[in-house]
Amino acid sequence: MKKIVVSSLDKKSGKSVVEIAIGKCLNKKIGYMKPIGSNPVHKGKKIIDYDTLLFKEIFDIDYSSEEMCLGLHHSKILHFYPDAKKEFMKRYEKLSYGKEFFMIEGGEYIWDGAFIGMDALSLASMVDAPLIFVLSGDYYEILDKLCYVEKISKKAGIIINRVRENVEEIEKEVLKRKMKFFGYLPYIEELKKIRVSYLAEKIFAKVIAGESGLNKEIENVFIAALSAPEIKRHPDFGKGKKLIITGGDRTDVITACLEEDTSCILLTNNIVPPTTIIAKANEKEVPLLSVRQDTYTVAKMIDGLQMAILPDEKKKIEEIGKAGRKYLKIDEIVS
Amino acid sequence: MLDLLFNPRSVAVIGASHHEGKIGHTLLRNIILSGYKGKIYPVNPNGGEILGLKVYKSMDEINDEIDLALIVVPANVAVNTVEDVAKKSKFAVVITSGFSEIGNIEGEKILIEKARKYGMRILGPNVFGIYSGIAPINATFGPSEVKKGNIAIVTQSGALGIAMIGKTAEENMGLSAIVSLGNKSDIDEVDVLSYLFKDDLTKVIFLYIEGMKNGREFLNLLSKRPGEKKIIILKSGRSKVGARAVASHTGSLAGSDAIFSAAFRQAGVLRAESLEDGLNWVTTIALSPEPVGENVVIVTNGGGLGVIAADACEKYGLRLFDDMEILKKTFQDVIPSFGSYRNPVDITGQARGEDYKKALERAFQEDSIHSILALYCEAGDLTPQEIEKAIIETHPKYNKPALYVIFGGKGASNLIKSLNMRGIPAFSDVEDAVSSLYALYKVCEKPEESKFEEIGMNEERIREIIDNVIKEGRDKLLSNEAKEIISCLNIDVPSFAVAKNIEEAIYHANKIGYPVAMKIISEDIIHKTDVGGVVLNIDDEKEIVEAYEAIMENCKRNAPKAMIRGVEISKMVEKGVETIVGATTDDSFGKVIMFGLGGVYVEVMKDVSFRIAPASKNEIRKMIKEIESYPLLEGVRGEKRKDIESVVDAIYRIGMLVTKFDEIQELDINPLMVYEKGVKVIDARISIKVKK
Repeated sequence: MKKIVVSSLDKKSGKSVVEIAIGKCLNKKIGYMKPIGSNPVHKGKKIIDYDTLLFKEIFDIDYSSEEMCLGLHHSKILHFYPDAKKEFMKRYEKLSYGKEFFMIEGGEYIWDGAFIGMDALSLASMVDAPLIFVLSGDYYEILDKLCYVEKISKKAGIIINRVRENVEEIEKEVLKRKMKFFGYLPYIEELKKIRVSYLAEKIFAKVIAGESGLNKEIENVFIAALSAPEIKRHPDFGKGKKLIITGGDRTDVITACLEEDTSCILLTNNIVPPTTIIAKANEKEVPLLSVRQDTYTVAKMIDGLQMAILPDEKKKIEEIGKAGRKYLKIDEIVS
Repeated sequence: MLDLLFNPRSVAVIGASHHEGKIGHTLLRNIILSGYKGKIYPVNPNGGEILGLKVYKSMDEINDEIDLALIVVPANVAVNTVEDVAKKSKFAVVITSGFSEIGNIEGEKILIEKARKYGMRILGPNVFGIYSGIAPINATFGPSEVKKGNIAIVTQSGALGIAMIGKTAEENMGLSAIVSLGNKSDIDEVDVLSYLFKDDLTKVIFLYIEGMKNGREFLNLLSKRPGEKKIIILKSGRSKVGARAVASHTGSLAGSDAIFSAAFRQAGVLRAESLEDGLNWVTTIALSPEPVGENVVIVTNGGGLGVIAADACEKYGLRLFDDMEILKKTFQDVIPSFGSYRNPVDITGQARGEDYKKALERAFQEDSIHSILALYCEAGDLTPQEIEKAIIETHPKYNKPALYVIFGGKGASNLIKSLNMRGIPAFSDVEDAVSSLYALYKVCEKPEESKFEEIGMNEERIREIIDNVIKEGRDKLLSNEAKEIISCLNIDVPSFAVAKNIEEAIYHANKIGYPVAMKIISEDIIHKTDVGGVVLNIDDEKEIVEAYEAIMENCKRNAPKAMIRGVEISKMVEKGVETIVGATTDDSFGKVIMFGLGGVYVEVMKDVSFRIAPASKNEIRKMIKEIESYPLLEGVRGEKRKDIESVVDAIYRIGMLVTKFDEIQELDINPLMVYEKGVKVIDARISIKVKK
């Protein structure tokens, strides 16, 4: 069985996307673990790691999310598993049995889990698996990260994610350091879309209208802080599949947005618009989400959101697979 | 004491003018024309004579004590001369504008300081003057003709006040006083009302205000007013809550207008929604005796109009008399066989003047009928003249409230005018008449005595908690601190404990007993649900651990800068009716308490009512009934009635708490769960005032 540990230096580098790409390129029985969870989603009275759910669905893994992840918070992990390493190995043995290719994902940051021996470097050492770092950013950011990875793990493999240019130069730098370059994934436009229902759950928004539109996709975000006439003139307003963020008392703006290609309107400061607006939103099937926070706070929350791939977003998964087949050096990864 | 303001023995007009049309001339003329019997001293540096009166060049030339000075010189001159005026006069009415209303706060401040140096009180500045029936004196620059009567008008708007003088004259309303408050730099509505409550001429007061600084003082005064004095208030400026940052649901729901309405209701003062209503109501109240009971009878010559009136009575909650036996006995023999003695009593369109008069007489004479709405449709053979005769021959003989609706063309309009001139309340619109009758009943309601009983309150512990919070430099209490304070009031707070880690959380949960709830404790997280800081229905140790993880992760991601103090473990309670009890601090009225439908949607539904704290239990019972969802407490769809008295008690205790501890700025208990027996506090929030 071939195994890898996938890590990154910082969050939102795209580890999950790279792992899906690798998995989709292989015609093998895939296994997956993420010892320290980082993308919480509610399941009843507890939280589980979303990525474990996703991988379970995509690769038809017959173990539960809870088994694939020890926990998201150290307090819980230490409470249940004073010897976290022992527990990890026990689960690894169980989950990898019968699998042909096994991926272990590190925490959000390179140091995540270091206190309990669950950081990526420790994981790779425990299972004796090659470490692959996923790096993203602009050209110089990637080079900086590359140099840092060289300092901590010279034998690591490198995959660049979300890259738009300078791939050959980066490859040269990797090879110059006698590290392995396993290819790259380009910026995949499809991945920037986010479903309204996912957003609502992540920011604890109340759905006050347009429930039938919760499956709509958001591609663009627009903060409507101008008057309605000015907003209509703004170039970004013309973009489709918009998420509009505005105060609930901005009835003029809301009305204007309901006439456009708007996927969702997020109303801030807990202000609920009049019933006429609510009725119109229902009619147009445009969800109105209400949050208590102000515009700035909620915009920051959305910006900080980890964009998710939902299991039923076939197109996204397909695009990732396609990109992987084209740009990743799969043979080298599995050899 | 404002006696000499309203009944001065001598008046000086500083800025009296030789030129007709100028305010200084009109003032003087009005004083003379009003039949004022005291001494009048016009003052103008040019001297001479105005309207037959000697003009003094300065105050110094007047060799007499002045009770009232009217200042009508430009603002800068007023500031310079006020000291000379104050040396001689007890009161000044500063007609002059150009002070705080245009931002000249400094000028107004100097004016007052100079006046105060000599103990002179100031009405204004920026007023149209004062009319007082007792003197009599018309010291205004409005219309000269003011009919003497028993209605007092106190207004913050100058232009509106002058217009009202004209309108009252047109409607033949007799006035005991008109006072223009203007900028209220010294004398305000509290002072004026204190006087009017003692004025024998005044029966009913119409107060128009836009804002109020000393709301609580005003409320205290109103609650002590003599029973025979009736007040109608028109307050404008229904603005939203001001720019003050608020952290509580109560604070965000307590707009200034809602608080004013609550205050008026609490003081038993009726608030008019429009100027038209206000003036109709005061006229009716001034002209009508107090009804001795609730029974209203409608007498009409038009069935349709009668039905409209009946609907309006239902809308206003007036009781239509329905004792068929008495109605039959009273009216059967004075109406045609095809008429109806049911209420509305329909004497039919074929009735003549005599028939109308008979029906009216019967209504007046029957003791079980306490007030009458008499309707006339200008139709058929019954002419306005006949109706007029019927009414004027009947109405004055009896001491029972009767209002008339005259509906028709020019004849009807003339009839209304004629009746009003005779002091008989007549209207062209049914709704106006019915609302006026409602107002009469409302103002005659005997206010209940406010009783306040002591509650057992662990004041020492409450003080300790608050002092500790202040010492830590916080202005928001942690939820466990707030709950502890509430429990010091002997309001039922389910067991709770604070845990700083998983082990403590397990320990406390086991001690309290499952199921439990877990909530984040942080002064930086006001609305815990919004950040995923609450997990309910935790059934065992494993779930405690999972819940702890969920809460910590959620707060780390959604409130990364929040100071986390731990988690609160509390006993889960059964579902009941979720209500909210709150308190906030209003700039004018001080502490205000709130009750309403609670839960996370409280700011969406806004189904709440307010009172000024402290409120008696009787007042709180009324407060609770005002919310739309009140039927939920009474029991709907087979559910049993909830323990409303426990809710009353809880609100009462909160009112006493915030009255006693002035540092408490805002307080929310949301939800207060209400059951068939008892109430429980599920969550509480308190913020305090920290002195800088």
